[in-house]
Amino acid sequence: MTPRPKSSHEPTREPVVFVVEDDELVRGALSNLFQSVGLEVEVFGSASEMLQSKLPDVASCLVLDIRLPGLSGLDFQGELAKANIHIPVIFMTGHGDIPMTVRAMKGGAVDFLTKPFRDQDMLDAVMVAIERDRKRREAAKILANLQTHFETLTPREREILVLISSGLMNKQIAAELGIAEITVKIHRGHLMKKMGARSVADLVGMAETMRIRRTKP
Amino acid sequence: MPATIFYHAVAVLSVAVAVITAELITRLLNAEAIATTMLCAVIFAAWFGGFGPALLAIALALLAFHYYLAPPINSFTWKHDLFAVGISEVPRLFLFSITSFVVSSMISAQRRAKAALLHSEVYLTEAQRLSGTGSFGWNVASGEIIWSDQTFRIFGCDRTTKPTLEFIVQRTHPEDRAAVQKTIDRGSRDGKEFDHEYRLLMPNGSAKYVHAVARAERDAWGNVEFVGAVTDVTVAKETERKLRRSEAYLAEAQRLSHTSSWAFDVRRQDFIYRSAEVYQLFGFDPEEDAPSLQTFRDRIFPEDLRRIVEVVPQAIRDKADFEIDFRISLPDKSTRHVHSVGHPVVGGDGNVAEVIGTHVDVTEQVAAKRTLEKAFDEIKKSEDRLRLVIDTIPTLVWRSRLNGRPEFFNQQTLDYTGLSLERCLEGWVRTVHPDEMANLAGMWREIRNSGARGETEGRLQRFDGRYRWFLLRVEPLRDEAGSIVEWYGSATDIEDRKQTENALRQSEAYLAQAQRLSLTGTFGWRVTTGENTWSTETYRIFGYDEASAVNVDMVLARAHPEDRAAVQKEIDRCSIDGNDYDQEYRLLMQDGSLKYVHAVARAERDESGNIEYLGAVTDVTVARETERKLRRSEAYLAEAQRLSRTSSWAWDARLQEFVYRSPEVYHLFGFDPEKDSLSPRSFQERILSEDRGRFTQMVHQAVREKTDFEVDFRIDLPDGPTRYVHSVGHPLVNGEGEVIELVGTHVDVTEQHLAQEALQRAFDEIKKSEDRLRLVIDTIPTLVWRAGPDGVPDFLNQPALDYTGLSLDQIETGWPRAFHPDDKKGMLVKWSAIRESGIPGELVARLRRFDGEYRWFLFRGVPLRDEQGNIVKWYGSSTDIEDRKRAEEALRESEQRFRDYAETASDWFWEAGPDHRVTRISEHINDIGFVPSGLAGMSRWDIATDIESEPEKWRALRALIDAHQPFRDFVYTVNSGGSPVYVRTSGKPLHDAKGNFLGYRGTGTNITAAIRADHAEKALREAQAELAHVTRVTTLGELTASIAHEVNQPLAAIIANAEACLRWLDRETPDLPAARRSVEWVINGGNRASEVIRRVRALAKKSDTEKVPLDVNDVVRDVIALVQRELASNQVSLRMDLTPALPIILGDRVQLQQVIINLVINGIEAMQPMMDQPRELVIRSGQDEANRVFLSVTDCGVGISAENADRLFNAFFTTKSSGMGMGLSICRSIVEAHGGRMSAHRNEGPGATFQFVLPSHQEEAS
Repeated sequence: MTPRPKSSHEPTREPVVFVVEDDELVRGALSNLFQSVGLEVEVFGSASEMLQSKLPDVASCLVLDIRLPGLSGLDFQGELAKANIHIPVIFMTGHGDIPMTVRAMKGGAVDFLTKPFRDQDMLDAVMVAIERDRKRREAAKILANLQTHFETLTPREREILVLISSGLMNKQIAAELGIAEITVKIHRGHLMKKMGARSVADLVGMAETMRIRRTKP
Repeated sequence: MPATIFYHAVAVLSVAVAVITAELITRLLNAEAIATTMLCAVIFAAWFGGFGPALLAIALALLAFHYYLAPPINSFTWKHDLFAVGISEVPRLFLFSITSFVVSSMISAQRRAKAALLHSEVYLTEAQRLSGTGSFGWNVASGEIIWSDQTFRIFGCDRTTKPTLEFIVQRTHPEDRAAVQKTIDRGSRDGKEFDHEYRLLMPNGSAKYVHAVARAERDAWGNVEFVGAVTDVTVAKETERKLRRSEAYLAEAQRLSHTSSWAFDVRRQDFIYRSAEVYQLFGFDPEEDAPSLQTFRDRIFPEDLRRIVEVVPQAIRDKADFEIDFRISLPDKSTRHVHSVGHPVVGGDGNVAEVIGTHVDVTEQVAAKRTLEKAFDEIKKSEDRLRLVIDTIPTLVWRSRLNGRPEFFNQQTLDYTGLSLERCLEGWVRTVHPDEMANLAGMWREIRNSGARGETEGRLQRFDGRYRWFLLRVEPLRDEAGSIVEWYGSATDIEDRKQTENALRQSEAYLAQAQRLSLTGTFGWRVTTGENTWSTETYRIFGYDEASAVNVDMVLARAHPEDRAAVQKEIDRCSIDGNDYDQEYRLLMQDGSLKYVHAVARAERDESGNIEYLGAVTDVTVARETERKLRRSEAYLAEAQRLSRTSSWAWDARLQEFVYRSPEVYHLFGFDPEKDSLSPRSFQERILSEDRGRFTQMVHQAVREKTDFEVDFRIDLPDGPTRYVHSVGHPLVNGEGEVIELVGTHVDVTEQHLAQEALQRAFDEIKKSEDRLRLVIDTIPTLVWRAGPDGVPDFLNQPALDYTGLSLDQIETGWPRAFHPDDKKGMLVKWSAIRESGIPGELVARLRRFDGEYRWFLFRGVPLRDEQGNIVKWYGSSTDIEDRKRAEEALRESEQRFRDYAETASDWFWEAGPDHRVTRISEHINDIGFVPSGLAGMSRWDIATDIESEPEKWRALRALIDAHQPFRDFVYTVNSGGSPVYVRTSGKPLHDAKGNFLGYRGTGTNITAAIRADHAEKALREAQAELAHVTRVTTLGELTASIAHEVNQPLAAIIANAEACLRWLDRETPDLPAARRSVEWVINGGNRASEVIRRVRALAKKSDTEKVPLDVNDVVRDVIALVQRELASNQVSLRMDLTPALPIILGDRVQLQQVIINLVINGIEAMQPMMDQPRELVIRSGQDEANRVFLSVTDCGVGISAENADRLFNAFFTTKSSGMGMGLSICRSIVEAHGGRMSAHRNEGPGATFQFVLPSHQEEAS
């Protein structure tokens, strides 16, 4: 049988390749190929099958056949995007045409491979995708951290953070808010401590990351 | 035995007493009395105990002697010398021994006799007491009377009474006293035995009947002693008296129940008693008349009286009872029949004192008997009539038991088969023609099983060995419960009909022949112009020269003077009214001979109304002459018959005596013609008295009225039975008109009378037989009728009545009316013709059934003639031939039909002789450029042109026809005007009835056009196959994307697996199991890719149709692999609804794949415009009710527009922008080439369904 990976429920740091392909022969071949380079593989016969299973929270990518029973590959890509699942997708097809390729790439596909594909192309695409996902996951993690910290701030502190990130000095902030400069300093001290910022520049970077901007000019 | 011991003990005791006595005497008297005492002891012992004890006593006495007399005396010691007794003692001893022996034996004998007497006396007394008989003795001389106990008891006194004669007389009943006294006196006087019965009057007043019997004994002195017995017979007498009384009652009762009784005193020779009924019986009034014996006797018929006078005295002499029948003639001329029974009563003197008896009036019984006899005669007649019907109806009739064994055949059957009834019952089956035997047996079995009536045709052998056709009918006879009892069947001769049928077939030829042979002359006569035309024969008949011009006057001139007026009258009439002419008259020829002619003419009118007679004249002289001769011979015959009477006589009317008697007359009357010379009176006296008067009266009447007479009378011969005579007389009249004598015959009809009596005995059986025969007539499934000589029907059997619904009294008018109006006239004409001819004939007409339906019948009539040959009755049968008629018509029609079939199925017919040379060929052969006459005598191979090119075919044909086998569809070519003509011919061998080969008969067809068409069709087929291939390849082109996908899939898998394999191997520690697994998958992928390629190649290949057994589902699955991509790229979902285990079909896989691909692609394309709804394609397979396999492809696309529906399958019809429009057209031709059908229809919802149906392989095989 296909050397399937261990259950996805086990927490693992290893990246996982998801394969959705209705042709069992091709499915097996891909699984075999990925396993031979030490990648974890999880295969599905259709899109719905995959949607019903619980996906592990690790770096992963999706190798997707365009022609699928039921929901087609391209539609599935759209569905995933709508569901805010940002898994990198690699398409493959037996007989591709240009409109199809364009649509896939527009939808954010990592690559579009025509069967029969060279194994290295597939592996490269998978590696790129996994790397991309890992990066995306890391960024998302930092942002989430900042957001957590940001949640602990008082409304005054959030106001002051916004003003700081827009480049105003303490005095300007005090004036802006109609409070004493010393009060601004105290708030800023608390604020930086809560956010874990080592410097004002660091703090501004965080605000950048969180896309916190002053809304009014 | 205790008594015996006791007697012996007494003996011992007596001896002991004797010894003691002797001792005492010796001692006291000193005398020796030993012997005397011993003797006394022995006597005592003998008297007391009998002989045994006496012997014991003797023995003991001898011992005592031994004691006393042998020395030493008076000692019991053993005495050695027994003979030492003194010699003086020896005589004493000897005497003693002898004496004692004798005495003892005498005493014991007397003793035994006494004991026996005592016994018998006891028995006697007991016996007398039980029987009531006492005994007595009467010594006449001494007057001593000895009575036994019982006698005392009878006389009612005890033993103390001294019986005396006076006492006896006194006890006797006063009325009997004198008789008793008389008997006693007689007994005492002459000493004869007496036997007397008298009554005793007992002291208590009761009477006793005693019967005394005594026998006289005379002793040596002549004294008479009566020894007798007296018995009390009171009980017996009482019983007797009671019996007499009851007898009297019985007699009274008999008298009351019997009609009349009488008593006749033999001595007075007169009746001493006549009951009132006797007077009534003899027609006297018992109150007023006091008729004498003679008056009674006068009323009895004289000859019966004679018998009575004979019988009664005889009975009196024999003292026997008698029975006698006699007749009484009463004053009112009526006759009474009396049965009389008499019983002679014997008087005390042993002579018959009187005769008592009864008369029973049996007139009614006799009358009943007479009626019965009369009825019998009637029945007999009816039976004869019925038998005649059965034996005369011209139909064979039989009856069989339930099991099919025949029981009865009518005379016709026996006459026809020439078999006796016995042989017919066993062997009638052998009369069936061998060819029909199986058929008849089968039908008979079927009928018996079904119980329904049935009919068939078959040939039966006639007595002369010839077979004739019969219509055989069988019908069951059922009892009230409806179960079949017997079978009745009839066989109607239809040979003539059969032959008529045959004749019909050659009718024209025969008719023509018959017309030519007709010797009847014809003539024509134009009334207005007087123009006559005669045929040669007419000239000959009228004895004119053919050259002479003819006119009506010539006819009149030839007519016999006596007939001339009539002929003239007819001719005149004809010239006026123009009606048909039919006349028979005589011609007087020039040579003086007579000719009878029969002229018939019919009038024709032309446009201007001129009458022309066309007619025929026939010389019927021969027929008339024959008739005349017949009449004369008939007269001779009658004369001969009249003269053939046996005994004849002549009686002179004036002399009043017989002037002639043939010897037979004497024989008849029991006289000897040689010896006896007899007066008419002696003859008359032999005639029975009651017939005598009638005879005389008839004779006188005949003389008076000068008429013939017939009379029956009886002759009473002295030696024997009565003779019955039938006498016929004829008076001879002299010139003065006076009867001078009577001549006549006597016919002895005694035997007839006896036979009649025998017949009477057979009455019951005949009655039964009559019923049976009636049943036969009424059950045979043929209508039987009888008609008088005038043709008027007077009898119909039950089936005929049932059929017509007529009742018996409607026959006369109802039967003729039952004929179909269209047939009635012809029927009547034929029927009169048959009657006139006097020979059996038949006709066919429709007869109305009770429900109004007319059915065809074959009527047969047979005449019944009396002895003179005159027709008395016509007997006939009517056989239902409706079904036959219909069958005939159907046959005719079917023959025509087959002729039509044959003519439409082929171009020409031919016949060839045994040498296979054409003997006949129909005109149509000239269609292929041959003249029929030119082909005669030529064989097939004389004209064929392909013998060299296809010798094998011809050899096979030769083999077939040499074996006289039929051949079919033999095709060969002939040359017709330079171009080849294909001929197809079939033939069948012909055999005659004996199985001889006569040649061949068959049909031929010009199939040149068909063969050419065949070639064209072949070319078309090839073109179509080519086209199919092209479209297939085109389709493949359309499927490129799909096929590429199908190929790329496995290729991708192969490559991926191969790469993976390398990687498994390239590891630091190569993972060999994984590498092996990878390689296996590579192989799988390779196989799959090659399979796809194979399918594509198969479709692309241009191959011949190759039909193999297939499962349609497999074909569908093959195809789906190729169109997956098409489905997917068009977002079409496929649903497959395939019925498993479908029948196998026979088909070309590639072609069927092409059809399915076409339908699927069409379906996909039809759904392309449908954007807003799911696209689903359903492929469904299954089996219809006719066991055919269907496959349908249903889409939900645009569907079929109404205007396109008809054109769908046309070539070059397409709704697509790209496409040749050949797809569906080719699909349909493929399906039809598979023996299937293709259809398309709109769905209920959106879209259309395309379907094709293919026959299953088995269905096709069958």
